[in-house]
Amino acid sequence: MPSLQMLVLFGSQTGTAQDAAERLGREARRRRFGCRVQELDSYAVANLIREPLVIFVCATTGQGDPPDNMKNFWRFIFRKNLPATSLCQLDFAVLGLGDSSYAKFNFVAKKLHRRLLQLGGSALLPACLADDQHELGPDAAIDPWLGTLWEKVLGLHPVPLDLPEIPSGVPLPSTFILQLFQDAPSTVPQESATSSLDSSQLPSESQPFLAPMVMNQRVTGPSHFQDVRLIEFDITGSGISFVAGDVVLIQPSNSAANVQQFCQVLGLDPDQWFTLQPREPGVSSPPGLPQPCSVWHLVTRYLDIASVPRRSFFELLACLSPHELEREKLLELSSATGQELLCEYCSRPRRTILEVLCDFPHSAGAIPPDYLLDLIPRIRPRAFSITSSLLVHPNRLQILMAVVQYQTRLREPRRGLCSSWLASLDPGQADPIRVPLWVRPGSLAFPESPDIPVIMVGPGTGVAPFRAAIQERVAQGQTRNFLFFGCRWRDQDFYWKAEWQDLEKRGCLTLVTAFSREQEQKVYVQHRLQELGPLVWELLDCHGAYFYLAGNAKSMPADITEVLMSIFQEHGGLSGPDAATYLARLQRTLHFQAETWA
Amino acid sequence: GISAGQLVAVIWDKSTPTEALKDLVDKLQGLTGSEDRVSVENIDQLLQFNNSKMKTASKLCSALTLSGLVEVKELQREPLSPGEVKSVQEHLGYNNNSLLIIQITGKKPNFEVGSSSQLNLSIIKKPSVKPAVDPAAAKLWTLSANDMEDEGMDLIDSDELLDPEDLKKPDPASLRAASCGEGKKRKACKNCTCGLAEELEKEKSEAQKSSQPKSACGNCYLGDAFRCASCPYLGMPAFKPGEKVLLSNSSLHDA
Repeated sequence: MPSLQMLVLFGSQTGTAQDAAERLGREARRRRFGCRVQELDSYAVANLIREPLVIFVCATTGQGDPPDNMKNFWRFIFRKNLPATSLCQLDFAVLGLGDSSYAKFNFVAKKLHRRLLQLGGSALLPACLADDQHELGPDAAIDPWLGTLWEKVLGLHPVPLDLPEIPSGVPLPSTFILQLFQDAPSTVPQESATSSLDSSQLPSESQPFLAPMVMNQRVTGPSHFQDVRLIEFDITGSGISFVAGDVVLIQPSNSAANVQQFCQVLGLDPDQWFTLQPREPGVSSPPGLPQPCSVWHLVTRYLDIASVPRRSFFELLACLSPHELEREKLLELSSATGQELLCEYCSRPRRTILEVLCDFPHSAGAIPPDYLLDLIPRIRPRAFSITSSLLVHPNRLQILMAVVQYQTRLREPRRGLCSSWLASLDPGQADPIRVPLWVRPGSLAFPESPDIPVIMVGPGTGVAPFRAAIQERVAQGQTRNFLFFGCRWRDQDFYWKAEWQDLEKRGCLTLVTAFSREQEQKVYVQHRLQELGPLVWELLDCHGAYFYLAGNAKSMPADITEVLMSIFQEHGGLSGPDAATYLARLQRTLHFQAETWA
Repeated sequence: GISAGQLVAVIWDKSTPTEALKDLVDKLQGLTGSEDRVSVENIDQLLQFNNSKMKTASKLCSALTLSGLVEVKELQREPLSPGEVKSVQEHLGYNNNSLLIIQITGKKPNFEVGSSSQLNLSIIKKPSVKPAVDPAAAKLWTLSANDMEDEGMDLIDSDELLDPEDLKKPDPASLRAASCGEGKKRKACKNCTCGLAEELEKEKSEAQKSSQPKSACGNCYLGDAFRCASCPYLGMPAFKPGEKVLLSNSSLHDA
C-alpha cells in the first residue's frame, strides 16, 4: 500500500510539459508513491479541495497564454466566487515551462502559483521557471528543482524502510500490455474518423474528418528555393464551417519508407495485429488508436518516429538495452552530466527517433512491444491558416503551405513531417489518400460593418489568412481592403497575383507590394508602410480601421510595430510614450491583431 | 558471590556505621582485585540526584540507554521478602508493598571518542495536520466546479497577481551551460585506435600537436553516438563494418 497518492496535472502545448509531467510520475513511482498524471482539463476540478498533494506542470504559450488543454481550468481558477480557504488541505508545487525571449516569460506558472496561495494552498517550494533559452533547455532548471521537491515531499511523507526506491537502471512496468493476435482479425475495424455525414458530432481531434485532397499545386516559381503549395480539400458532408481567420488542424502520417525501416530495425511485422490493455485500473486506452490495431497503423499513423527524442527516451531505452556498449552510451545521454552531449548528438542536429534507433540497433531490436507507447510519443497535429472563404469556394478548404526542409550537420536534410507528407500526396490518383482534419477558431477576427477599412500586412505565407478575409469581405460587399504583401521576386513567389489584380480593377482592394530582392537594397513591407504613413494614420485615427499582421514571428512583428510607433509620432503628432499608449489601446480594442508563427 | 573482575556498587545510608562500611569495602576490593571496581554511593545522595522520576524499572532502563550504555536489559525481577520490606521501611522510610528487586545489565559501548550511534528509538513523525475545509467553502467550490461551462462568471484580473520582479527577464549569463566558452570538446571514442586519445593526452601536457589522422578509428561504423570528434563519417547513419560508404564532397558541408 503506497504511503501517499500524488497527483500531477499538466497543461502542454507542444508535449514538453507533458513529458516533464510524465517524468515526475515515473520519479514518484520509483519512490513508491502512488501517482496519477493527467491533463488539467480532463481532471474533475471539484475534487481539488480534497487533494493532499498536487504538482502542476504548466507551459506558457503564445502571448503569455495557457496551453489549449488547460484553458477551461484557467477560466475556472480565477473566478471571483471561489472562497479564499478552499485549498487549505492542499500542498502544491508549480513547475513552469517557458521561453525568456518572450516578455511574458512563464506568466502561466507565476500566476498559478500566486492564485493557489490566494486560495489557501501551501507551496512546498518556489515555482520552477524552466527556460527554453537556456543552452541545455528546460532540464537545466528542472533537474535541481526536482531534487528539492523530493526532499520536501519525502520529509512530509517518509516511505517505510522496507520499500526501497526502484533504482534508475530498472525499467518501471509498461503502461500498456500488447496482446498479439495469431492471425489477422476477421472483421477489420472501421476507421475511427468519419468520412460521411452520418455522425452528429462536428469533426474534432478525437474524430477528424477524412478529407479527399483535390488540388496540390506548387505556387512558387521553378527556380525559387522554397516549394510552396496551394492545397485544396473537399469537405462536402463534413459539417465543417469556418470564417476568415480560422485555422485547420491536420493529422499527418509517417512516410512508407520510414515505416518500413522502423519495422525492420525493431524486428516488427507490419501485418501483425494486436490489442492494447492498460496495466493499471483507471488508466484509459490510448485515444485515437483503433482496437484491434495493426503494427502498420501504429507505426504509420500514431508513433512519432520522425520527432526528435527527449531525454526520457534515452532513459527508458537504456533500461531496456541488453547490449553493454549501447547501454552505457544511452545511460550517459540520459544522465544529468550528459545533457551537453545529448544536445550535441541529438537536439542541435535535430536527429530523429528513427535515426537514433538505427544508431543503437541491438537496443532497438530488443525493445519489448509493450513499451512502444511509453518510448515514442504520439504524432501531433499541425495548424494552418485557412486561406479560402466558403462564400467563394463552398465545400472546399484551402491552405497555403511551405514544404519545410533544411540542413543541419546531418547528411540527410531535415524535413517537416506534415508538409512533406502533404506535398507527396497526389490528388490525381485513382484512390486518393484522405487527410484527417478538423477546424478551430483562429486568433484573427474581422469587423462586420462594410464601412470599416481593414489594413493587412502579410509577407510571404503570412498572406494566407488575408486571402480568406479579402474573399469573404468582397463577397459581403466590404470593399475597403488594404493589403501590404512582401516577397522576394514578383515572378517567383507573388502568390495570387492575378486574383489581386482583378480585385484592384473592381475597386475592392488597394495592394501595396514589396519585392525584397529586386533592387540593390532590401525593400520590405515595413518600408512601404512607412512610405504610406499619412494614409495609415488617417485610416486608423479617423476611420476606425482594423490593423492585422500575420507571418513569421522572428523579427517582422517587431519591425512593423516599430514603424507604426514612428507613424503615430510623425503623422499623428504623438509623443513617444503617447504612441505606445495609443498602440496598447488599439490592441485592447482589437483594432490591432497579430497571428505569427515560429 | 563476589569474584575477581566484577564491579560492585555499595549503597549505604546514614544508619551504616562508618567502620563497618570501610571493612566491607576493603573486603570487596580484595575480592574484586583492584580498587577501581568498588563504587560506594550514599543513598540519600542518589535519591536527591535522581528524584521521583526513577520509580520504575523501565524508566531506569531508558535512563541508562540515554546516558550512553548499550544492550540495557532487565535480567531478573523479584518481589522483596517481608523481611526486606521491613528493612526498607526502617532505613528508607519508604512504605510500599510492591517493591521489587531488579537486576539490570548494561554495557559501555566500545566506541572511540567522538563517534556516534543511532539510538533505536521509534519516534513516529506526525504528518502536518491541516485544517478541515470549511463546509460552506467546500460547497461553493463544488457548485462552481460543477458549472464549468458558464462563461459569464466574473474573473479576477490575473495580471494583478504579478509584481515587478515577475516581469524581469533572467540574466543571460545564467542561461549558458557550465563548461561553455571553450569551444566544442574534442572527444576520443572508447577504443580509440586512431590516435585521438593519445593526441588529447599530449595536448594536455603541452607537447606539439600531431597532424590529424583521417583514417577510420575502428568505431566509425557504429554511428554518431560512438564516433570521435575527428571522424570523417560524422553526420551519416551507422553502417556494417566493411560496408563501402561513399563520402561525397557535398556531405561534408556544414549547415
